[in-house]
Amino acid sequence: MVTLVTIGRSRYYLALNITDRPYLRRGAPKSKLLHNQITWLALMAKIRHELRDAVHDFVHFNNLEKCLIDSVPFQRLRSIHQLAMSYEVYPGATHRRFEHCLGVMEVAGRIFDGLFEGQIDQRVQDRISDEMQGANKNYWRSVLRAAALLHDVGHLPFSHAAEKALLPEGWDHERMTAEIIRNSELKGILENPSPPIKAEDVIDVAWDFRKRKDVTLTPWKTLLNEIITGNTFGADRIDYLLRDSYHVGVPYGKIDPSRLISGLRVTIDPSNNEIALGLDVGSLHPAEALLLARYFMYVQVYLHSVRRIYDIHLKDFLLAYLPGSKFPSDWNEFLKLTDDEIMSALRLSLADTGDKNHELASRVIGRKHFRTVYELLSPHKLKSATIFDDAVEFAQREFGGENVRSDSYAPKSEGNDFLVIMDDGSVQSSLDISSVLPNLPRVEIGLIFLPLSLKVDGEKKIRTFVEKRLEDN
Amino acid sequence: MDFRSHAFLLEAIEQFSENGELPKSTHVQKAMFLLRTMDTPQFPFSFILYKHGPFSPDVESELGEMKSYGAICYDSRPGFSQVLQPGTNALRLKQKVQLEPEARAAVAQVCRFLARKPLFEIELLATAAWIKTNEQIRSLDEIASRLQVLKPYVSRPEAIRSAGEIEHVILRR
Repeated sequence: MVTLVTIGRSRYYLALNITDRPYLRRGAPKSKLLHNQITWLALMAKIRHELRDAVHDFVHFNNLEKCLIDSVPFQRLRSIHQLAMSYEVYPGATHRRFEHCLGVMEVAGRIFDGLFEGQIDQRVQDRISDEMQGANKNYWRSVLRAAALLHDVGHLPFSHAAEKALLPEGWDHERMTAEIIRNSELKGILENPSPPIKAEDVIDVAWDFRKRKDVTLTPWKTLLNEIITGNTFGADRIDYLLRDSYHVGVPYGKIDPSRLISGLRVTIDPSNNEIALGLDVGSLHPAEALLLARYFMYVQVYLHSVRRIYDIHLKDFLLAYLPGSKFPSDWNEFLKLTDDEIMSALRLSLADTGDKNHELASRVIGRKHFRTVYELLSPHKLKSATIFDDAVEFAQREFGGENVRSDSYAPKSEGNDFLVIMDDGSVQSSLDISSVLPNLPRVEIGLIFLPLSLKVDGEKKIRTFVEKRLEDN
Repeated sequence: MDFRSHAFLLEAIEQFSENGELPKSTHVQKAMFLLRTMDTPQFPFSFILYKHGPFSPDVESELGEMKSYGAICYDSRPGFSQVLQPGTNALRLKQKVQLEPEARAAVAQVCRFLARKPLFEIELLATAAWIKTNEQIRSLDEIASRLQVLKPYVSRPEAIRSAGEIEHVILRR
C-alpha cells in the first residue's frame, strides 16, 4: 500500500508498508481523490499493535502479523488447549495455543533484537554480512517472527502428543504446520508485503530442523530455527515454561527471561567452525534456572500420572471416534477440528448410554479414569533393566489387556551442552563451566494404570511381583 | 528395550577408551554412523543429516536409557564435557547380549580410526561418509565440493583430505 499526503507547502508520498513504519517521500500526489484517501489512511492506519499478556506484559505486532493473527488457521488455536486435559488435575491450566504462539513471537523478536542490535563479534559479522544488510535484516526479522507465530498452527486437537497413532503414516504436527502455511490463506498474507515473505523461509525457520530428514538448512536458517526451537534458549521453551507455570499455579517454571535473553550471543562454534547461539558467562545462572525449571515442570506437571492417563483415555476415544481412527491429512479438513468438536463428541457419547463409545467417553469426561497402581523407581531399574516391561506384561496377564494401560517416558537428551562465551572471548562447553548442569537428573517415568475397581488388588499383586523379581536379580 | 543397540554403544565406548580416547556422545554418534555405512548386519540405528553431520536421535535416547539402568555412566571432566564410561551394570549387559565377532571387529576398526582425532575432523569424516553413501556421490572431487556446500567454512584441502580418508579407510573395508 503506497502513496501520499501534503504537509505544509511540501508534498510527499506516504508509503504505508504493512510490515514497516510509514515513511515519507517528496513528490506530487497523483490525484485529489487519491490524496484524500491516503490522507485518511495515514490518519487512521495503526502501524503498531499490542495486546496485554499475562506473561510478557505486552505482545507487540505489526500489520502483517495482525493479518496472520486474524487468519482462520491462527484463530483456530484459540480452541486448542496448550496442556491438553491437564485442567482435570490443575484447574487453572485452561490456556490455549493461541496465547502461547503470540508469546513465542514476542520472545523470538526480543532475542533477534538482542542478538543483532548491539555489537557483533567481527568473525560472526563477516559470516552474516548479507543477512544483516538493512532490508535483509528486516526481512529475516519478519520471517523469524512469522515462523514463531505460526509454528504450532498444525497442532492436533488438545495438542495431542500421540501423533503417530492419530495421524496418517508419515505425518506429524510440524508437517501439518508446513502444509497449512504453504496452502492456506497464510501464504497469501505472507506474500502481500513488499518484498514478499517466502512461505518456505517461514517453514524452514519454524519446523524443528532436527526432525526434518529431507532438508539441510543453511547455517543462517539453522541459527534462526534454534532461536525458536532450541533446547536451551528456544523462544518456544522460554514461553511455555513461563506460561504453563503461571496458569498451572506451580512456581517451578519461573525463570529470568530478560537476563537470559540479554546474555545470548551469536558466536563461532569451535568444534565445527560454524555460527551458533552461545551464552555470555554472566547469564549462565538464568540458563541453569531454565533447565532446572524444565526438569521440575516435567516431573510435576507434564508427566503427572493423572494427566498422562487422561491423554491415554483421550487417545482411546479418538481412535474409536475418528473415521479410520485418524485425523485427516487434508489441511482444509484438519483445520475444521478443534477441542470444541472433540469435546462435543465426548459429551454426546457420554449422554447416550447405548453409544459404542460411551464407556470411553465416561473415562475422559466422567472422571472414571484408571488409577495408578505402579510407578517405576530408578532403584528398581538399576536392579533390573526390564522391570517395567515385565510388570506391564504381568499386569496384562493378571487383569486382562483391556483393563491395563501403561505409559513410559524415556530419558532424552536434555540439551544441557551449549556454548558459553567467557570473559576473555574464548568459548567453552556449559558442562565444563557449570557445576549444576552435568548433575541435572534425567526425567523418566513408567506408569501402570488399572480401573478404580481393580486398584487395591492391582497394587498389591504388582508390588509383590516387582519385589520378587528384584530379589531374583 | 533394545539391548542389542545398547551392546553396540557399550562396545564403542570401551573401544574408544582402549584406543586412548575419552569418548563423548559425538564420538559415539559418528562411530555408529560409520558402522551404518559399512553395512553392519542387524544394525539398529538410523540417521539424519544434522548441522554437526550425521546424527541419530535413537543413539541419544538409548544412551540416556543405558544410563538409567547403570550400563554406562557420565563422568564430568574439566575440558572434556561429559565423558561416557561403562557403568556398574555394563557386565550384565554384556552377559545378556553378545555381539557377533564381525560386528565387534567393525566397531573396533571404526573406533581405532576415529580415536584421538579432533571432533571437528570427525564431523567432516562422518559428513563425507554421508555424502558418499546417502547422496550416492562417488567421485572424490564431488564429495569434497558437496562437503564445502554443507560446511561453507571448510577449506578445499581439508574437504579433499576428508573425502579421501573416508574413501580409503572406511568404505573400502
